[in-house]
Amino acid sequence: MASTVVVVAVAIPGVRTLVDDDAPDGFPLSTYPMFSRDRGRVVELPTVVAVRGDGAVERLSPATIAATDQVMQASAAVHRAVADGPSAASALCREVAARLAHRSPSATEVRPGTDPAQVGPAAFASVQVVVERHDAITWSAGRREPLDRRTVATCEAP
Amino acid sequence: MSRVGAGGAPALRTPAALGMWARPWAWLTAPGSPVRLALLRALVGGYLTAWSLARLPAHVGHADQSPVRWQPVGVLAWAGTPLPDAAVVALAVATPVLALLFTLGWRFPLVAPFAALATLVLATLDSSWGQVFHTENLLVLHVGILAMAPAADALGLRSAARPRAGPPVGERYGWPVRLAAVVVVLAYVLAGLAKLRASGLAWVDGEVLRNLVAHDNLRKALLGDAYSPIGTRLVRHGWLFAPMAVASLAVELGAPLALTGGRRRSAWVVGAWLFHVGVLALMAISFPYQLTGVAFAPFLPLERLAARVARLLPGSPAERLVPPT
Repeated sequence: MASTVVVVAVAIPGVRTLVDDDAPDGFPLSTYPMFSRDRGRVVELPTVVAVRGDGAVERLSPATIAATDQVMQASAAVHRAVADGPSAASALCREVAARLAHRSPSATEVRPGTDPAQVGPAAFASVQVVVERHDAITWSAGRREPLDRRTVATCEAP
Repeated sequence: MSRVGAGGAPALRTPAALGMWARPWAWLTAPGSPVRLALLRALVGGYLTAWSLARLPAHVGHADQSPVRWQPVGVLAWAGTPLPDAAVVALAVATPVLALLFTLGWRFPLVAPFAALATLVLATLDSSWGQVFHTENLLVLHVGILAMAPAADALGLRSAARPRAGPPVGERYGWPVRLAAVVVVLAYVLAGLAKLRASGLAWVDGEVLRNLVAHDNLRKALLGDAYSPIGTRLVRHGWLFAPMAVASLAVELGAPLALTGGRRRSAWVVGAWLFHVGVLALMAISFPYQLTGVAFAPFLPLERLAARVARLLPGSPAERLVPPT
């Protein structure tokens, strides 16, 4: 009996996806939606960046963006803030700026040969919540600049 | 010579219009080895202990998460607000302790349900901040299955007074191992069907997979996380992705082969493991439960592997795991 219940419970969410495009994912009974739908080549991705006085953009880590070590949670946090409108985006911007004031730059934020002082909080003029549009394939080929970048919220760096 | 399937049952010989459920049921409930079940408990429990210790800082850190990011799923879907900080910390700290007792088989009938419940709630908590951790699905399901089973009748701390190998083969010991194997198969098949449902046969031309790999690495880069240099290099060569897409679908939809035992099972386990190595290489996404092989343990003759280790390493602890002959 227990076996039947477990098998049916595990199978149900998956079967739901076969009949309903919008079947929600769950845990630990999943519809396994990840990596199934085509994202297309050109994608819009929201993120939070630090901007230097000279306009150069620095990427921030998931820990600085959303106080998490999980990139997908950071992504979800920014997505939600952007979707919830300007006040939510501004609130996230201020949160990130506050974390930026107290952080040690992560390995991914410090490029080899970089003077750590240049990535410290004093090096930045502002923090921005942005939505960048990229061609993911040409980005992989080395063209790292976005096709365009839309600023949703800006706040002063600490 | 008869082949042996998951859990030590006779290999499930597919189709044929057998009284529909009778034969699968007989396969599922066939007698099994208490030692195999106990070894599976030790492996899954050991992984759970390591996972809950390694993730302890992140689990405790949920107490500091902003409530606006709370997106509960599963057993926490009812919760309108995050769990109280004290509950989060207590859960994060108690889980590795329960996991260790689960692994050792100490007072198993009492401890195991609490260990399974703590694992379910903690892993669900992990997945309630905007990202569902599919990496933990099978771990939670396997712990839950083992908690319902007499998985410490052999090789448990409290079974020390009895022979180390515990009681003889019996019906009570077969179904949990085979059920653990079935949920692995279901997970892969459902993931394969989801791909076909979302992308149709276009999946096999590789373009969807190529875009997914490029997109995932791009997103990681924009959010300041480590991305795969192998994936970004390979994305430049589109022709590579059609065979990879076909292979991934073959692994997922071919998972039922693992229940048939013998070489097909071994081939599928190796293929599934390589699939996860590929995901790690191309997208820097780690499925540690699968990559360590623990997820595939229900398919393996664990007691025979232990005996082999014991023969290779006389005097090692593995020798004590071998049933007396």
